[in-house]
Amino acid sequence: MRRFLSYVFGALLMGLTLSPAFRPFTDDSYPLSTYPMFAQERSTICLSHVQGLEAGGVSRALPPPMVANEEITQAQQIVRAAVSSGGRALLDLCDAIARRVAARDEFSAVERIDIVTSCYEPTAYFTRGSEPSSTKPRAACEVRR
Amino acid sequence: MRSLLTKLDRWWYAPLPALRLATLRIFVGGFAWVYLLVRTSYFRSLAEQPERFFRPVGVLAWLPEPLCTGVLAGLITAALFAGAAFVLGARFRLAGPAFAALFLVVTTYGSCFGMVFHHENIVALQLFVLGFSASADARSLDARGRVTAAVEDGRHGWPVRLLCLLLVATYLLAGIAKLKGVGLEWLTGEALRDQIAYNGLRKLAFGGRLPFFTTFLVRHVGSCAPLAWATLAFELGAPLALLGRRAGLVWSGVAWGFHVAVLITMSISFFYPLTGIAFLSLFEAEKLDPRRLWVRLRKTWGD
Repeated sequence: MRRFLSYVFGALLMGLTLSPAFRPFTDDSYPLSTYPMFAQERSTICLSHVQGLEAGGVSRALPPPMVANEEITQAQQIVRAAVSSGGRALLDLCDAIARRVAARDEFSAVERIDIVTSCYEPTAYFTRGSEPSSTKPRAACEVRR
Repeated sequence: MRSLLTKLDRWWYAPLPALRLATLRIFVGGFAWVYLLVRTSYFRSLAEQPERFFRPVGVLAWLPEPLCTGVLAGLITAALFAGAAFVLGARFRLAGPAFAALFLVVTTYGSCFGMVFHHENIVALQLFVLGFSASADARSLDARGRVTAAVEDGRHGWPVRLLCLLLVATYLLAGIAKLKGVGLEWLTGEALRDQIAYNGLRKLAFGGRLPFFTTFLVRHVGSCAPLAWATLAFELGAPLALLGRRAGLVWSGVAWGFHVAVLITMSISFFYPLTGIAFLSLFEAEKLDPRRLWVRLRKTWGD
């Protein structure tokens, strides 16, 4: 009986683990993943991200903890989700980032938060120093101290 | 057909020492416990995320809204207690399945805010095998006073086989995904170069540092092609690691090298394989004595 159960348990777990091979590879989950991480075309990409604007017009990229938490991909997904929702979601995110920035000394020169979507050819960026092919402002808010 | 099934059965239910499975329990469970402990602040930070970014996946796909702070903290604490009992092998009939389930729930919740953490998959799956098998028959509080360490039995064999199967299956799936997503063009190295460039770009966009080697690899597509070939070959060839000890050793070495390369070129850490614990089931793990290792580590730190 014990032997039989080991087969049932093993077949079930292996069946579940291999099942993502029969799903569209973009249909990811956890822990039964389709592993799309390195399996996507990235020749052109549009990236939504957050910039802090300092006096004099200098802008600097804001790190993940200012957006969500220490995970860069999670911060990236949250900005992307807010951009796709638009409206209130985007403004709320902008305000939340502005509050975090206001509380940190290292960002004391940042006066405004900009959420933008920039489209690139990633390879050209590094080989030819290309600028983004387009940059679309999504939301902006003041940092109040 | 009958002889094939007999061979399969001999392989699957081969008698292996209780010590091997127990050692795997300690190392895999120990990794999972430390991982949870180190990531506690991250998991707790999820309670502050706005509800609109909640995208439940996996076993929590049914959740209509994020968990409240108290429930989340309770789950993390329960997972840490169950994890400690799992590693020590105390009340394992309860602690084994409990830790496997709690680790799955907590880490699934960590993947419910837009990012799926792929590097946790294999840990969660392997914990299920260890948690539901006789992995506390040796080197455990439950087994104190029992002479089971040297006992070789099929009940200690199949979980080790299943750990190995799960390990190679996850790499095989990653290889299949590349063929589904990019196709054989992956072998030209251009998709890999684009991936490295994209990863560098998003790190810069989020105020991070450009990973080492990014610029070099992106500027020299010729250097990406051999890496792309090697990646696809070792992922699709993962089942070959099951052929024997030497095959397992070679494949594990290549897999570990792959993760080191990913760390250097993209600053992406797959902690579990980088520690080597992910590959331990392919070897005679019983030769590692966790207590001796602990004493040696303490001496090293002490000095």
